[in-house]
Amino acid sequence: MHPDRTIRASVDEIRVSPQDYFYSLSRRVLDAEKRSDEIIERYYEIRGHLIRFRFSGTALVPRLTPALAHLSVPPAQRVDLSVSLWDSVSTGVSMLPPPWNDDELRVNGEIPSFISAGLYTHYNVYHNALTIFDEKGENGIFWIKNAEDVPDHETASPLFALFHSWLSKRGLVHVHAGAVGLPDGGALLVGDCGSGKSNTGLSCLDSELFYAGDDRCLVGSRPEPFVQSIYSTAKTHPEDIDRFPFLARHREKLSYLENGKLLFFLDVLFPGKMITGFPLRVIIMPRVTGLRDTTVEAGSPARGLLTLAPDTSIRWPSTGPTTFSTLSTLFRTVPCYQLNVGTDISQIPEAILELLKNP
Amino acid sequence: MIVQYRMNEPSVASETIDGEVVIINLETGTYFSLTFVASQIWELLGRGMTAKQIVDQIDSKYNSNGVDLTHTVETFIDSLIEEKLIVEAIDSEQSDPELNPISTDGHASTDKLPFTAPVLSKFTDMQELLFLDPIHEVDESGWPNMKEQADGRQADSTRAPEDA
Repeated sequence: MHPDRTIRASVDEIRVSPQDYFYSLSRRVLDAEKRSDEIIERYYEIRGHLIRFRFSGTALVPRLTPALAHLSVPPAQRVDLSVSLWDSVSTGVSMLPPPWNDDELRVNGEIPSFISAGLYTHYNVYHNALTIFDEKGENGIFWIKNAEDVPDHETASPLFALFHSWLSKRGLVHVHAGAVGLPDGGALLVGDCGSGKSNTGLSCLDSELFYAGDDRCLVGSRPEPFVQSIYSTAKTHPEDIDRFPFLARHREKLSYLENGKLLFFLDVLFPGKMITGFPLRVIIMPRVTGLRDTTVEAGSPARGLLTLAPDTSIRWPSTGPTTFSTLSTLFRTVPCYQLNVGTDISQIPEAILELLKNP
Repeated sequence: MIVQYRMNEPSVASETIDGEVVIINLETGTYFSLTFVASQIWELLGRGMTAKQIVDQIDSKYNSNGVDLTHTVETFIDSLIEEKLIVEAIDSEQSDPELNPISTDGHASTDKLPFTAPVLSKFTDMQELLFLDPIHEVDESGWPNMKEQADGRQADSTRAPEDA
């Protein structure tokens, strides 16, 4: 019998508590660290919250950190959350069997029976990755069986489940929206896939506007509406790149995602263009018109809420009511506009800047 | 016995902005939009009114032009119940609902507006996040692994959107 099968059998007989399982996993992390050539630490700041990533070895570093580089800060003694990251293949340390039954795994990856008393547990069945953290101990663990199995979309938006769950308790809601602006105020770009949201953001790369997110960012409503950047990645369709000459000249540095889109890291190609966040002044809903000129008209806040809220609220039902409430507050309090996006891309940032001056 | 209704919390959340209601059902993964008469019926339900009281309110504000308002309102309420957006709150004594007149978007209260049947606009595109269960196997140590479908593709419901 496989050794882990023996452990599994005993787990079935006496159910391990979530806290005990987390404690046992922490011991595996120590094993992985001991067996790694080096420990690599990265520190990030997200709206005043300090997070440390502590990698056992180098295998995961290039796959999980580039999209977060713009949030890097110097090492700190005290952090709000420390996450240990390791993989079994490069460290040679096997994983404990799961103490929950297969049918306890939710479609979105959450394991409700192991989300209690400050513990959060998520398993990604697609690339065999476990995220678990203990709110009380401010410690988290990310494990993946094989670092080479980290898919491109995880590199583009790393540790999505961890950030969502941990940050939502701190008033930051993960949304499917872009964001551009200036240090004293900016715009959230809201729209369905194909609405022109990404291209509206990309058109601002050649303007005085900064970038806080291509299609993912964090928002909150207290003490005032704000946007916080999370990932520095951007994506575009290959057929669109020639519309952006300032991007097309970097063509050889772009890589293809599994879905055929081009992926790039904004802070690498456009140093200084990323911004960590700003007060939210306007919500903009782009709509591609095919006409030359870009125009602005009043937008429907309810339509905006209908576009933005279901994704995050339904994806994470455990935090759905809080998410919906926060987003409702934003749409009730922040002016909302429809941006009729024209083909002359120079007009797009001009229109956004004008809205920011006179919201 | 008085039949009133309440929103099916905590599974359901709603918000009204500029007269349009956005409703989300976290249990079923569906979401909804209500405008015009539908949004007003939602508001009246929220005030604790019975179906009969709602019909009276609608009748006082709209020219029904021969439409059977009782049937229309009750059918609409039934559709809200069917979608698990509201539940019956049966009470032996009727609590006192707020009987303030409903808003008619700036029209003088004496002008009756033309009645349009209430519509429940339903969106189901997010349901796969809850119900598209990946076909997976369990390896020898008990960890699930994704099993590819015959066409080699599966929607990854744990991905960030746009990547999917």
